[in-house]
Amino acid sequence: MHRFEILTKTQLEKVHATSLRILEEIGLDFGHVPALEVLKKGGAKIDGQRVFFPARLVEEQIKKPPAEFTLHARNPENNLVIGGRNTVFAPGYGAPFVTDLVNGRRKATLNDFENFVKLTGASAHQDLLSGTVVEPTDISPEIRHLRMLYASIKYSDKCFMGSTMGARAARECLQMASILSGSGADLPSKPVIFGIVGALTPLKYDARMLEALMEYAAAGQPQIIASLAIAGATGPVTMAGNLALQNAEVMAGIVLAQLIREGTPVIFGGVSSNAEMRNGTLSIGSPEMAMNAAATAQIARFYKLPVRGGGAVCDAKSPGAQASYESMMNLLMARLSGINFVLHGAGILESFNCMSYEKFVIDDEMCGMVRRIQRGYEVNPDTLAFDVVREVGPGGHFLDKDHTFDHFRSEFYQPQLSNRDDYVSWQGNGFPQNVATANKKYQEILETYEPPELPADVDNDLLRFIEKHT
Amino acid sequence: MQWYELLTEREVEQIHETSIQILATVGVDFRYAPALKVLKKGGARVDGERVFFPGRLVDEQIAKAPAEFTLYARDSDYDVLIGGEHMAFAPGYGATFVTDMEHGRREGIQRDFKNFVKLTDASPYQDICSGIVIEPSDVPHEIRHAQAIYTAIKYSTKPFMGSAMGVQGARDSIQLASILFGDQNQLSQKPRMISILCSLTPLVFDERMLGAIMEYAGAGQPQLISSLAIAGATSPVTLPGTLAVQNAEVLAGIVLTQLIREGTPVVFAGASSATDMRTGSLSIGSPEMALNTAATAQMARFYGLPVRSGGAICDAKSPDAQAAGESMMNLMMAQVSGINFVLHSAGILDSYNCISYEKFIIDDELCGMVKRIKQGYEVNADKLAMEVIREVGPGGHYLDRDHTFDHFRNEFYQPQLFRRDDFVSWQLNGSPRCMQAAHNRAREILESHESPELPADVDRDMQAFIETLR
Repeated sequence: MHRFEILTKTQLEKVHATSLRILEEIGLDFGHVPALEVLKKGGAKIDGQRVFFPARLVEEQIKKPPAEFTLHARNPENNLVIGGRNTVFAPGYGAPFVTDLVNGRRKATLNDFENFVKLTGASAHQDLLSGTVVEPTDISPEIRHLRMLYASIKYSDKCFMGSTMGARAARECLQMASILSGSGADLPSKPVIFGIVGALTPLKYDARMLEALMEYAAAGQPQIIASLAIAGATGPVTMAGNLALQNAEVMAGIVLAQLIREGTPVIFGGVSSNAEMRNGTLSIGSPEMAMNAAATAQIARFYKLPVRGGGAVCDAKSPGAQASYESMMNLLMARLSGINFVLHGAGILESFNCMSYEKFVIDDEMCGMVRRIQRGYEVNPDTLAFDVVREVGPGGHFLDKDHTFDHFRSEFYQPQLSNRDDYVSWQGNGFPQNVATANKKYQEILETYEPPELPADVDNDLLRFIEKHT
Repeated sequence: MQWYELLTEREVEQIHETSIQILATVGVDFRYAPALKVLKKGGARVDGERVFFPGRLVDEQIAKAPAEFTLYARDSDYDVLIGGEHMAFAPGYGATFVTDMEHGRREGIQRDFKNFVKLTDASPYQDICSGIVIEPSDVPHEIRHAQAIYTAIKYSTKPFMGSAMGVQGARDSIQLASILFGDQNQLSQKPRMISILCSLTPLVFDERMLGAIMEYAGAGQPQLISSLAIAGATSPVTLPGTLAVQNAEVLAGIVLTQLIREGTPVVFAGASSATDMRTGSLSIGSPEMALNTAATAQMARFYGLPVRSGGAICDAKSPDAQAAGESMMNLMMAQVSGINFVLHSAGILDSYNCISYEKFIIDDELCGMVKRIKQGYEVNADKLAMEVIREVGPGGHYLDRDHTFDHFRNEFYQPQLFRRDDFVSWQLNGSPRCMQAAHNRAREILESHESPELPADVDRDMQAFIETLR
């Protein structure tokens, strides 16, 4: 078994060496004084906001995070191993808009947020909740993180994400997670929540992200440290240079996290892509996006870190052929190249701007298919089936064999949405289209979904906490 | 670049051993006396139609086929390398029906056939004209195969495929090619066409296919020796067992070709997949199809042979989101697992039953994207762009750099069809769907396509030859 690798070993080492030179010779701006202090104490050279990282410092610190870790869910059955050969899926993140076939595109609300939590909770293929699955624009930004996290906890018992919108939001999310895990302490004692922190490409981290990074690291809670360099706009147009830049930014963030708390779990996040040169905007449905996912996976393995990349991501504006082609390309590449954490695993449209109810269901099916591929082959005398082949012989058939009935459920993926009827039956059913079927399907799920029970005392404590901080 | 590999080395050996055991002890039926004679003389044990292959015979003969060969085109710019690290695309093959947005689904006719040859010729990504891109139902059976080759030659200068309709179909194909390219000796020096010959799973080759295999092998023309085992119906439900059956069949066919003419070029072709257990029919949009593609690529590499599998294939009935997801899954898997020859790389729908004009254009874009991924990264000082990164520094941008202008065209895939503008512009343009854009594009290409020059005497001789078949 071997993962797809897009870079040769020599190419990978050249990218790594260039990243080290960027960190040492060009440096990054850190827009937060406490972060500068930590970095200075740790051995970085500081000049104003500019931080220069000696190669040795980077190489030492990058070894400290664990290669894999367990994220604990309210329901232990939903605990997740992040890293190794595992791939987990979380749905779309951060879209301000939402759309469905009937009501069209509009600003997302808390009701949409809750719906996507429920769809994630009900999904067999989404492993955890996305933090800001949509921006609930009807809730004031100051308290959005409280209401989002509460909805995540209330309507599902899968692992969840907290806010990284500055120190206060991060801290309050960590405290809510602590209430849920019942530790009684201010902070949870094992990884139960995690955040996503992004660099401001090129070569900057702003105060808001740095505050959150420092809060999560101090609490020993995991975080994705991510860079999204847009080749040709915020990064060099050449994919190799863009990768070196992405790599430098992610490593700089990881160094800071490790200097704050050695061994704090991090996920190496790389979601760079290219600019659409006609208008200078980000394109994530491009083959360059898939290439970057493969390269990121390789580099993170080189550092022995869990890795995030890929997703059911696209530039298409509505669910349909373009959306699915682009999404499948990026989803399958993530799995085959060994990505561990796939954010935007379902629902996202329009280069991250919009969540679609129908696309959520369509993508979820794709995640199921990719997961079947992930499971691979089990090779043993029973599955090699020599005896059945001998029994049937040339010209026979296998439909009525016990071996067939015993194995087909576990061997074949059972589609939830895809239509495999013959043409005449399909015609007889009124030519159902995938998107229209998905529309019915998501409504069915929402109507029948029963959220797992949240103990009343915990629920009360959480609500009280929210009230106190609102 | 490291291909994705599904199986461990040991598992590859286990599959091989099982196939050898099938060939030696279960045997394969060859329903054609001349083939039985060749196999017997070559060292196989023959009992009636049943042929048992000693392991040594298989190993010896398989070693004789070349690992890589060239398929020569009328225009040498379009010569295609088959094998090694190369990947060639040929559009859909063998569909009975054709569909487009304007006229809906109907039986394919000669005009459609001609149109698809033109679309193939105009495509920057399709390398070979598919043999029977559709079945032209208005052309009499006795000349259909010859008319197909004539049409491929008349409207395109790319390599083409020969008929699989028995001895006669193969002979006529070779004759027609000879009119253009010279006698059989010249043809065998520079192979001009490739044909696809299939087993009748489980473990049978029929007279029609064997007749053609023997003709083409005798003339030194390359062929795809292909097996399509349907797990649960025509082969074991367990995928390793299906792979072992597929493998045994392909090996048996290749042994025959090498006994007829040592070193005749063959492509190891495996297109097996799963049964949809609800309907009992073939499912090719399933993840099991993609798994089989990856496994087939590995088996062929184990034997040192060029390999065919995958395609832009799906169970969907119309070019919708489902079609897109399934097609991209199977196309991407072909690329990352190292498939050399991708048949059905554009247009096919409805589990091979129908070809769509719009899907042809959409899939062609996919092929372009996948080819971009295959190009991979170029890593050198210029591409690593350290100096540009230094120049821009933290917080700057790259849009106005010479480096950006110098490289973006060759670094980024330029989409022909997919839209990457923002939502508002898209909406102002009337929310265009990629189906409609594809429909328009197909029409534009067909209206503007200029047929290549074909010498008048060749044209006349070919037409005269076809008349002799009536």
